[in-house]
Amino acid sequence: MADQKTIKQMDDVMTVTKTLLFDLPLAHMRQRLGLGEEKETAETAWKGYDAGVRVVNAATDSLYRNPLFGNVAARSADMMLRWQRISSAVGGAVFAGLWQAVGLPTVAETQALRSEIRALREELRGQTNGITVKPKVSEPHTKREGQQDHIQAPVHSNGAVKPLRAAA
Amino acid sequence: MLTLLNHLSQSFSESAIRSLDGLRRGFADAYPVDDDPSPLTSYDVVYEGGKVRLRYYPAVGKSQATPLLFVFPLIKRPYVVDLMPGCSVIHNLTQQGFDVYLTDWQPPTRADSWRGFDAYVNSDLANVVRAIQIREGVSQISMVGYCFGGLLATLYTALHPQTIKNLVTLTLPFDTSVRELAFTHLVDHFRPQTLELLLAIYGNCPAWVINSAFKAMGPVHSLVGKHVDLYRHLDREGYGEMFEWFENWTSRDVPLAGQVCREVVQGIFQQNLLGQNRFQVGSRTVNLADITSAVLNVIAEHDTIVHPKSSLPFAEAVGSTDARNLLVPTGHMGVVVSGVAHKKLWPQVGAWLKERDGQWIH
Repeated sequence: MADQKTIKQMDDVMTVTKTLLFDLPLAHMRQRLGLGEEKETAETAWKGYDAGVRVVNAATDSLYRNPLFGNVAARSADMMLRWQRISSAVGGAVFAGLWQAVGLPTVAETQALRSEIRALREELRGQTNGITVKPKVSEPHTKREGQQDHIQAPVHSNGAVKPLRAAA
Repeated sequence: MLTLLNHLSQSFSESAIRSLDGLRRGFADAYPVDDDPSPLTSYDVVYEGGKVRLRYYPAVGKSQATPLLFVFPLIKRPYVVDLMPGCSVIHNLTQQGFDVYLTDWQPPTRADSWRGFDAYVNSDLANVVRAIQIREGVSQISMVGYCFGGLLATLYTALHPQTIKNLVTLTLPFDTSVRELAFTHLVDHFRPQTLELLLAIYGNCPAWVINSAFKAMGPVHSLVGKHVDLYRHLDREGYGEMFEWFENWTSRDVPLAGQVCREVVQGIFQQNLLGQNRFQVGSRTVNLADITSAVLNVIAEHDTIVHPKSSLPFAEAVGSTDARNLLVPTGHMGVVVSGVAHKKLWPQVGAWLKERDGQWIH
């Protein structure tokens, strides 16, 4: 299986090389001399492109499987996140007072406000016993005539009604 | 050649704008769900609680006896299953006579970082199922779970088997010891401390991390291939329109709550606890032998996100005597957007469900 994969990859590399060095220039020359059509040149080019994509995909696969690359990627991600953590902490400490001075709420304050609103919503929901479910309409649904003839359009949380998309 | 270069430069710049829009949405503490495009198929929101809104799409004509709940993944917006005319799983199923319910998961804010599988499965999903039971006057429903939604559906069914008549899983990441995909080898090198650092900074797993991970699974296709393919297929009817809708959707990753991210990365992907019947949700251990409903496990043969070998063992692992695999010649997203899916897969799923519609399980 591994050998078949390698053979296929070598095949693709050969196809790319052959296309770039021989097939494509030849097809282009034939087209210029009126012996060939643009379609032939395009097909030759796409054949080379497809083989090239397979080669690059195989190379990416090999890179991902390479332990050295994996280690480097993991360590880089780790280092980037640590720096980000430190800089967030430093920035937060330095600018904490500044936002209040210019009258702007901090992210933390906005998040706290949202949490409070959410908690109030949950409390309100909790006032009802069990689950509040919209009842189903008892009469059977008739077959739809078209995409626009529906019971109601969807309502979003801000109360606005979003129109349906027109069917093609 | 010039035409191709012109096309590529335009396509790249549109892609960059989509990516930047995606970044903007992902960075907002409250993800702007109202940015979703207008819906194709009308729905009612019939229940809202926790981090889920339950959408209801009525059946066309006479309804099947058992309502169907489509459990969508937590990390994407659900409108891909109702993407465009001729490419809508919702439309396909409602036309077959199913009353369809769809989980519209509300993206978590930083304050929701504590939410794990217990909250999503034993609270949100349980309440959603209860809501359907009340509305429809039934005690059992059919559940369809896609990818991460398939995980949620599987966990729910194992923990609450008496409420599920039929379970359909699509591209389920089950046996995560499978290392066929090169990307999994790369991820193996990341230490648990890196994930903890990420969650300490952001609270949740940010949308840009999820987006980057998906792009890294197929970098050539993501960066160049799809733009060239668009040029090649410009003459194909509907290809350009489909490309734009799909690309808009792929830029809409959603943050993943911190605790569920921790549980899925460590428990599911790194330790493969679900496959060993050792995965814990809340205080309970998930035992797949408790899944006795009929099970249809749909596997995408050319899946480059969840390798087919990872999904295959699921049908054997459950306790059901009516469990089978169904292989589809598409990729991971193809099970919901491809022509093969809409012409063959979903009618087959519908037929499978209808065969079992009147049967009482347990």
